[in-house]
Amino acid sequence: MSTLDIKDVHKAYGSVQVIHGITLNIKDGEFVALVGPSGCGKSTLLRMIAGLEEVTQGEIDIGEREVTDLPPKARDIAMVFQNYALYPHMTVRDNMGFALKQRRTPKSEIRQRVDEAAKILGLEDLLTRKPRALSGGQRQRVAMGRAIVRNPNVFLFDEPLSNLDAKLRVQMRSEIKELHQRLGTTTVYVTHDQIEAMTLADRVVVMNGGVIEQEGPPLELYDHPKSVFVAAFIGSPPMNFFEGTVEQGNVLRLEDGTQLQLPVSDPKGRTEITVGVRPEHFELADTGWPATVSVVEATGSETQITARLAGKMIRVLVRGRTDVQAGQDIHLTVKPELIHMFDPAPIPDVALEEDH
Amino acid sequence: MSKDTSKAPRRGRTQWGDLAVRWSFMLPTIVLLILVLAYPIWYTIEISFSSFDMMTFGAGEWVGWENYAWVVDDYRFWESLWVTLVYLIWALPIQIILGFGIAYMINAPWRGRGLLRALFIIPMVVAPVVAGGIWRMLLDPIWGVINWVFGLVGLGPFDWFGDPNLAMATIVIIDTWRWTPFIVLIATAALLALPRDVFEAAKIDGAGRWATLWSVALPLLAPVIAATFVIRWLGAVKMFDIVLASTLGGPGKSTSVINLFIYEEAFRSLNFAESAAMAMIVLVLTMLLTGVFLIGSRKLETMH
Amino acid sequence: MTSSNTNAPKIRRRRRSFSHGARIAGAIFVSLLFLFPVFWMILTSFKTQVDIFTTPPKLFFEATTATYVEYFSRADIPQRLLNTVIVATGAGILSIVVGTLSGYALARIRLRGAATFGVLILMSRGVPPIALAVPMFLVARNMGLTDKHITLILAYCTFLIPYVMWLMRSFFVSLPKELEESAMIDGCSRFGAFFKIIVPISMPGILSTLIFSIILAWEELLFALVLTSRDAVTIPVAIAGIAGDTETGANWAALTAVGTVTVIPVVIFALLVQKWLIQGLADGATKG
Repeated sequence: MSTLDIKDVHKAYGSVQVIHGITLNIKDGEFVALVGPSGCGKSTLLRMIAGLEEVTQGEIDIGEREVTDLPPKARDIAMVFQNYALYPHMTVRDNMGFALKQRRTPKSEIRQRVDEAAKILGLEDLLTRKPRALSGGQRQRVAMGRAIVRNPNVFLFDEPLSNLDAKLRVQMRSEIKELHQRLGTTTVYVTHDQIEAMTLADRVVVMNGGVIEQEGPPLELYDHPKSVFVAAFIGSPPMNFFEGTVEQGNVLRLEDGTQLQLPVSDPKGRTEITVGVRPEHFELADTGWPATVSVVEATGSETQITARLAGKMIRVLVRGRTDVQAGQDIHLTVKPELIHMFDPAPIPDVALEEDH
Repeated sequence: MSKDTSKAPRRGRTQWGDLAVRWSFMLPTIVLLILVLAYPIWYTIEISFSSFDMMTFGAGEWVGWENYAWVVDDYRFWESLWVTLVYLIWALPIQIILGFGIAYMINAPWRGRGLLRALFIIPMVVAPVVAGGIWRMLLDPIWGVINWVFGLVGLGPFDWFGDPNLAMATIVIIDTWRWTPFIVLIATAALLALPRDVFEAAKIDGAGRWATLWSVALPLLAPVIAATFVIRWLGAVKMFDIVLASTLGGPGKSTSVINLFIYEEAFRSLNFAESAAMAMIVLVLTMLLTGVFLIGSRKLETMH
Repeated sequence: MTSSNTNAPKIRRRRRSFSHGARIAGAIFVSLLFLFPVFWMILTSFKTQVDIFTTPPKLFFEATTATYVEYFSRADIPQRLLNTVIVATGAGILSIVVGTLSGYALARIRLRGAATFGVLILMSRGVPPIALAVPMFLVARNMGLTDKHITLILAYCTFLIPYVMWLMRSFFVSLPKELEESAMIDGCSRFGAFFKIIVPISMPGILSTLIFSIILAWEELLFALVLTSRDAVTIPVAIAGIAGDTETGANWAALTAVGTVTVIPVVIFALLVQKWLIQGLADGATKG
């Protein structure tokens, strides 16, 4: 167990810069999730920590030791890959003991540590099997077992759950969380799934285009996103955005001329802004922003309303049930403290990337 | 790691070590092939521009293009190239059409399919020189089984090795026997890999058997056919063993393909310098045509 | 079953199964046709001279192993067979070791300039062997290396190494690269990851490629013809000699007996690895 410090790390392939100077200090025992759309550089950063990619510029320290130019084997890390990368010609036991064997650990100790890890993960009965005789969830567990027997300084996870089906994913997610609480190993976890990031991590790092867009505890990112990108990425269903100009202090004029009354004026006094409201923060009222309901989807515990506001699709999430029906005109209000205001920026398509 | 080394520019000593490790995977191949492939080619070039010294049994003095001029003036060289071309023009299309046709038959879903496919490997691995020999026996004008079978239906007897055209046919037949199975194996896999839904869609659209073949199956198979052609071409230009074991280039020079001709010029007539020049001409021709075919097949692939 | 509306599909099914049956019958017929020459070779090898030279050809006859006994008790044929085994396995093993390493390098290791070598080596498949045979003969003769096993082994490397390299490259490309990465994180060096993880996983592919390399070397004629004269002569040269022997007339008994002995082991090995071979052929044609 140890700290992990990433100091102004850059990565370029030839003349193409993919990581533009990232600094990140991870505390001993902390669980950090790197999240972002594909191509944002999160996997590249993880692979640089692992030593699988060369660092073009900058420094990586594990504990107090600089590892920037060390090969992977000298870094004392363990990594769980998306496709598990189990060695197909070895049994589960040999897979889990391989790293220890490479370090010439005595056989009896390997045996004992593998047994211990197998017990934690419920793999005792599978130790003599080959990977191809395992189910997806079992393989995933073996991959984690391979990581934990080593008792490394840092755990690295590269989208470990994306090859599993939805139900198993939720189950394995809580197993990973439990494991971290039990072992307390410093962990870096890469995912494109913001829900995984939010539920697992002590700290979420949102990456975009090779830079850190925002970092912080999960709920802080939810409550106070600093940009349209983070706001759109964190939270499900995603935030609704309204781009326009501010008139008379607290009226938002949309592109088509519709005027929306803002509950507060922009504290920064910008004229061009993007206003964001999470679907669950809208309230149905008698007056407020006018919208026409197009679809009502009730799941029992909550009801999702898709409506049109000034020709734009918006989503509204209501607790419990409602008697609103398709075609009906409704009015929406937002509490002043729940409305977000951002500098105008292109709204990313990240909501579409969720594959639940 | 002291503070001094960390200030030094990246890519320090460790990277050099790793570079050496990486290259050591490639190095044995490069060294061996320079020794046995690049150097001989270089030596051929050298001889082709020199007179051949029978005393030292090596390249003599520099004579420029003289050997090439001699070769270009030699009608036998052109005749031999022509023979090779005729063989290629007959053999390759026959083998490809036959190969895909048989593959279609073999792919009929039934239990023995796997067995038949496995059996098709057998002709492929019969040594070409053995193939040439057995076929010489099968095609023998007097005692051969094939002429006997033709005789049963009132044909022949054919003098397979005495008539120039039939002798060429013999070469094509033997080569086809040995190589069609190779194409059958590629084609069966390619046919099985065809997307089934496209054919179902064609059926629903009302396309008949021929229309389906012509406008659905062939375009889909075009890249595989092109690739097969290139592989086959690279094998066929090396044609040597079968001819040596069956017709020996005869009757006359009617089946003397270029490799056999160069071989005889070099090792029977001991005209090493001229043979080297011929080998170089053939090498350049082969490379050029291979390049053309590769570009062609690449184009075909991007077209579909 | 007797009602009229089940009739239509029934007829349709029958017609389909007729063309289906024709396809199967055709397939079997063609297969037999292709196997016939090998069958006839084996058959002839057990005939006496009298049974060979007769019309109509005899399908049933009293089998004799006289030809085998005669030819394999002579000193030269077993010696040539042994030469062929030495040369083919030697060339096969050398090529598989060297070619697997470079195939791996091309598939996985970032090396500046390696791709150029790869393409050059691939292009060498277009080099006519005769362009190599002439200089090899001259060099070998001047260095006193003719008629030696090692000369032939090296000569066979010219076509075997490129073959192995490209086949193994496409095999390695199909393996997930996380396997080595995982091994390197687990404490292996590059060589360690290659020898402890990649080679064991690839064993079926490596063995099949080895077998096919041996077969290719086993059947080679031109280099053997040029580079050997007495001690290292291989079986294909001997067969070419028997087949081309016009003075004593066609010695079919010898040809078929020696041919059968040459072909049978190769066929057995080929059938052993046929599944992988077919896969490799298909990949080679669609990807290469």
